[in-house]
Amino acid sequence: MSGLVLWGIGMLVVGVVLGRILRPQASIVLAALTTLFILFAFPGLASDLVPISADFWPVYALLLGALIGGMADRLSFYTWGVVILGVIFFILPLYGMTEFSLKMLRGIYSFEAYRVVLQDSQFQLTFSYSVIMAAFTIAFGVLLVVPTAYWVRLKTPELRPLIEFITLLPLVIPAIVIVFGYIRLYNTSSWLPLTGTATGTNILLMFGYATLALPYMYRAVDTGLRTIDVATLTEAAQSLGASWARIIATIILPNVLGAVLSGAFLTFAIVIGEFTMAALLNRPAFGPYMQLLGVNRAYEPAALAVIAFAITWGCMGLIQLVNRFSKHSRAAS
Amino acid sequence: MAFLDISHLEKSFGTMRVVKDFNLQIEQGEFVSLLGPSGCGKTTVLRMVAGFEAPSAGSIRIDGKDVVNLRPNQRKIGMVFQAYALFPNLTVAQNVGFGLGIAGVPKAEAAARVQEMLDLIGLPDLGSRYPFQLSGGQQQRVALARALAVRPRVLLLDEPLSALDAKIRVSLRTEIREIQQRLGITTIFVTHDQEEALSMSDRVVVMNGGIADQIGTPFEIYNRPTTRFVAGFVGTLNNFNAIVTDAASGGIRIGDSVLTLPQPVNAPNGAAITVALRPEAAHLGRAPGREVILNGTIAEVHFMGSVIRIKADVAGTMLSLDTFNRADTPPPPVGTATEISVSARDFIVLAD
Repeated sequence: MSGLVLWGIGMLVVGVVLGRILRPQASIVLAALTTLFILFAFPGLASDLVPISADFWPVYALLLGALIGGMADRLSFYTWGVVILGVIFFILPLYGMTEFSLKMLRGIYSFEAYRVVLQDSQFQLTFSYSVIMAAFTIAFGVLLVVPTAYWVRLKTPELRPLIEFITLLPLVIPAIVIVFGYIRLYNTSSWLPLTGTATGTNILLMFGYATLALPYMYRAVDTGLRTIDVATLTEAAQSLGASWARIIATIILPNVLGAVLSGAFLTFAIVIGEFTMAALLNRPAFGPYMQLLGVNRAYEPAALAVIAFAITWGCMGLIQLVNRFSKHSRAAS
Repeated sequence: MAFLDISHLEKSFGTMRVVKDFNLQIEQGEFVSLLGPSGCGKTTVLRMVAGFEAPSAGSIRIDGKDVVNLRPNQRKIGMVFQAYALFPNLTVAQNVGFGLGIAGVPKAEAAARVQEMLDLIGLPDLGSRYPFQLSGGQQQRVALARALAVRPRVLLLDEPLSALDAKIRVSLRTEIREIQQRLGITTIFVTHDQEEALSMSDRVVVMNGGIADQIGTPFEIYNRPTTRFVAGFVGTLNNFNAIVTDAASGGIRIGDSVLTLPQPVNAPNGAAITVALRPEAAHLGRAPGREVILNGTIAEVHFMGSVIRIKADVAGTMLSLDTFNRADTPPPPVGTATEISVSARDFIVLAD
């Protein structure tokens, strides 16, 4: 055990040194190491049983070290205290959950719980359903929010408080209220019987998801629009003969792509985890599946949660990568 | 009929009349500046020509056709903005080619035109750069190339030099004027900088409170301002209170000096009028041909390099005069009593 602790401390020191040397690139190093870690860890999922020991510790230590090294002179002592408290609060339960998810087979660490989850046909069905729904929701959200936010900024800035209020409503109106409203309005005996068919219900669910994601999507896009001179760019494009559709597609959207991606990622996270609407509309989504598994199994829900975290972090990493490598990212200045 | 004909143009925002009965005729290939302080309506006129604002009344005709009801993207007008307004997500070449793509110009022809434009602005190798990789002056030249690439009928420049530093501003204004003359493109240039307006334009429109106060060549505007505002806004002026002694022959009295203006005065005998004098028209000491002698005391001396601006107290009125710097003649010290000679021909009688 003491050997393991020494290992950990050694890797922490290596991480700090690495972080100090590569300070500006520390986040890239972190991203690269995380990717390597995932690549090394996950092939084990595909094959059957690859028992892994607490070798995790040195990797975590290295990552933490690199983070500390890279950020050291940006944060004061007290800030560090808060950061460390937060890390303990956040990492410890995560560690406990991850460790628990690896203990399905008695006496050894294994990916058995992950294997069971990933091979479950219900998992595959519900997960792919939710991913597809997320994709449609994102597309609909972008088509709805980008032109709206653009138009409000350009033509009716006095309406902004009203639009902001409307986009905030989903935060104060519970999803269950929205979905009951939907069911009342669009049931089979209504003027628009959307719940009568699976496709209709899917469309309804997508609208519901888009509503839930509206506060995040709108804010992200609006913030993105704030960084460019919307009015002048529009006038420049107009004087060159561009139509509204072309201005939005070729000038506005590409310049707020980072913001749109942030909004898209948040939408994705909301859709993947959403339970109420999917359950009450009786669609085979991932949220209800997680709930079902949670009440019936022991190790699999923990594995599922770890997978969900990995997906979330993967998305965040992707957004960072896109923003970092977009060629005109400094253009807004 | 003029190529660009603006007649009886009006614009109100709510109860505020920003542009009042504005008339301007511009010939093809002419470079006209709208000059005035901020809030005088010059940018509003330009934006109405571009189509970004709808006039409250009046007409704008380009090549004989009224364009007031056309949308901005239908007017075939090129515009350059103070803030450059290059599309940040597109390269320099894509920016310049943006309008060509919309106009449906074939790819090969568009590429050739883009290169031609980049050569024209002197940045032939920067096509693959992004706007943020360029300096302000380069960005504004790209913006000019982008506006010109579509071969617009009229080029509108909205204070394009205001965001640049002094040296670039001077060199770029020469460059813009050269390009404009080479292409022979009809141009309206909005500025609050009189030096820009005077040095670049065929004609200058001095605007004040939404009205075109005076329209004329830079020479006319500077030397024969017709209103007190134009005289005061363009260049520096010394104002003198004078009494009309003989209106028909142009006789007036300033203090103790009686002088005869080259033209009759449009005021009754005995009336109080204001006459003005440019600083460069006054001469330190006596000089042949300057028959009016004023006695004063040197109050301030500002050495500005090639020019020395001296302020002298003449019977309680501060008079500015400019002399050229000469290496062998140092400026007089403050407090020296001096004679200042002027010619009656250089006095400008100001209408209100």
